[in-house]
This record gives sequence, structure tokens and C-alpha cells, in this order.
Amino acid sequence: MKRYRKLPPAAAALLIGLTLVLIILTGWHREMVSRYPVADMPYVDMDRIKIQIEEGNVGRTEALFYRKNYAGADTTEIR
Amino acid sequence: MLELTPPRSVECTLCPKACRLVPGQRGDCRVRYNDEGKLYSLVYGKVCAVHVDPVEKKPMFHFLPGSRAFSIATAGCNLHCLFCQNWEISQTDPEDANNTDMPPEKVAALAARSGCSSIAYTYSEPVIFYEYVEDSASLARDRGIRNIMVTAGFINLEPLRRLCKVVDGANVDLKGFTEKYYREVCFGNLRTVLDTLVTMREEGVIVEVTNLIVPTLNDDMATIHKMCKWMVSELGEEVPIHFSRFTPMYKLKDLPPTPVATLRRARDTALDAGLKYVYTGNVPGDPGEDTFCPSCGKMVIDRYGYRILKYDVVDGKCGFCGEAIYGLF
Repeated sequence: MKRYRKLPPAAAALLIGLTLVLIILTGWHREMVSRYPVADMPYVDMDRIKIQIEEGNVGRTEALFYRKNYAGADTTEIR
Repeated sequence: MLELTPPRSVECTLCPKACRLVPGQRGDCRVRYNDEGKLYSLVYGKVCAVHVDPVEKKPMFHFLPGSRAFSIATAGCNLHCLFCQNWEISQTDPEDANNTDMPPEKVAALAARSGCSSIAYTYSEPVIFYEYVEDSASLARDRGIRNIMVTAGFINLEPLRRLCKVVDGANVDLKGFTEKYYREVCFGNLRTVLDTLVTMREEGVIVEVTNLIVPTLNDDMATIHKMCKWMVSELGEEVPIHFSRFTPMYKLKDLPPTPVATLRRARDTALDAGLKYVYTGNVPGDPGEDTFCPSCGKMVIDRYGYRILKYDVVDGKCGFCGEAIYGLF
């Protein structure tokens, strides 16, 4: 019966490392070409925004087109 | 009824993405956020780019040729094209941009002071700074200054019709002619942009179209022919189209620049489809930059880059045969 030599630990670690790198790279690539951004709307850092508004780097004006309580509450309106 | 929606949530109805936001969340465009049940714009009066450009740079070749356009932009965009040429400002949060305070009154005043015939809302996406465009455009009108939108046209019909009341000209990016391209490369949809183009024509806006040709992604001549045929039938044969050269940028740095031969082939294809004014863009010195009279075939505007070398349009008509030339002159 043919005997196989055991893989040296360093080679095994290298193999695992390369595989991980490959997965990460592939993941980044997939995200780059296929992610639909709407699914990833970020939360605002409210404290930072308030500071920026006070400092005048960003503004704060009510939007013209939106629907309040969109899920059907009786205050629904389009501005 | 079971209510799963958190209280004080809002739905933005500006563009077809219809972002539904709970308090503290911002939209896909990065510039509209829900603060306790009210939707706010973070970029009103906060420009991150200001320049005085030749109107040809927009590109608008049939809108007061040779004039200057006071050009402004804010951070953010509701599309995320992988080839974006202005991604440093369009794909950033407004609080991370280097903004300048410029209320609408100041925009109109600066445009007048710098001798501009128009204000161009450009570089990023004017749809997402909607309220700012509308107010600035109204004040500019009062001073006799015209308004130009350089846009991807990804907007709902109701806000669009309202905006058309104060906008005189628009260069609309028709980035491709398949839903797949819009979905996978731009994260939007084609149908909306086509509706925008038709609506703008109905509302009397002077429209020009730009198609950025990206090698391997949207350079198929059969599709370009189909797109031009659609333009002829739905917008009219006189609406100009600019085939622009792609430069490797943002997330498509692995593609080469568009070969000039491809742009020229696209131009021939568009002329063959029946369009009267077809241009090549981002290729200074190319014969495709010039305007030819569709009747007598003579060159009425000779351009080199953004400069006009020869001008033979008289009162909006060909200086040789008197044929009306599309646009505002």
C-alpha cells in the first residue's frame, strides 16, 4: 500500500493563508460588482452631523418629496 | 393590522429607489436622512465644487454656444456607476466633503458677476440636491440667467415635472440601453431614464444626450443602433447625442480607454439611424466635435475641444442655407 508523507505544518499554514486571501479577494470582487446599495443604507452618526451642522459644513433643510410614516399611518402625506 | 414598520419612518419619493428610512438612517444617495420622522437634505446650499466652465464642457453644444456656465455640485449621488468620473465627490458622505456655504442668492449673484449666461448643476447629480437646484434656478431666472442640469435622469416623474418649470436645458446621461447594464454597472434602471428624457422633451427642456462608451461593457453597435432608433422615434431626430470617451476610473481601472475608432463607429451608427446631430466627446480635435447643417451639410460650428473656432449660425439658423438648427442660440 502506498504511503503518503505528512504535509509540513508551514506548508499547511501557507495553504490555509492563501485560501483565506483568495476568499477575501473574491468576496471583495463580488461586492464590487453585485451589491445593490439600497440594501446597505447606513445610519447617520447624529452627534457628528449635529456638530457639522453647527460648524456649517453641512446643511439641514427639510426635503420636498417624502412620505411620512409610509406604512399606512393616518398622518401619511407627501410634502 | 399588524404594523411592522418602526414609528417615525419615512419613504423618500424623490427617486425610484424609494428609500425607506427609520430615524437616524440616510438614503442611498447619502445626503437625505430621517431625523425623528422628518426627511432632511444635508447639502442645501453646501457646494463642494464650483467652477466657471464653457457650456461645451457639460457638454451642451446647442445651448448658447461659446457662453460660460457657472457650475456647481454638492456631494452625493443616487447612482453608483462603476466608471464614475467624479466619484471623489459623488460617492462620498456630505460631512466628509470640503463644502462651501453658498445659499441660492449667492449662486445667482456670483453667476451674474462672473458673466455667465447659465448655471449648470453638474459634476455629481443635481437630482439629489433637488431643493437647492429649484431655489437657485428660480432666483437665476429672475436675473435672466438660464439653468442647465447635467444629470443621469434617475428621478420620479412628479418631482421631475416640477423641476422642468425652472430648467432650460439638460444633458442627460443615457449610460446604456439595456436594463442589465443599468442594474449591474450603474445600480439603477433604464426605464426611468427613458421616461425622464421623454418628459423633459414634453416639458420643453432643450435636451442633449450623452452616452459614455465603456469598452467591452456597452460598445456593442447593434445596441447603440437600437438606442439611436429609440431616440429618433421618441425624442426626435434633432436631439443631439454625444458619444464620450471613457477613461479608466473608480472601480473600472482595469479597462482601457475607449478607442477613438469605436467612438467614430458609434457616430456613424447614430447618423445611420437617423439622428441629425452626433458628436464624439473627450477627443479634442476630432471632426466629430463639429456641428454640421443637416440640410446643406456645411459645417456651421467648428470646435476644438471646448473652444469655438468658427461660427455660422444666424438667429438659430444655418448661415448658408437658412435651415433651423436645434437648440438655443
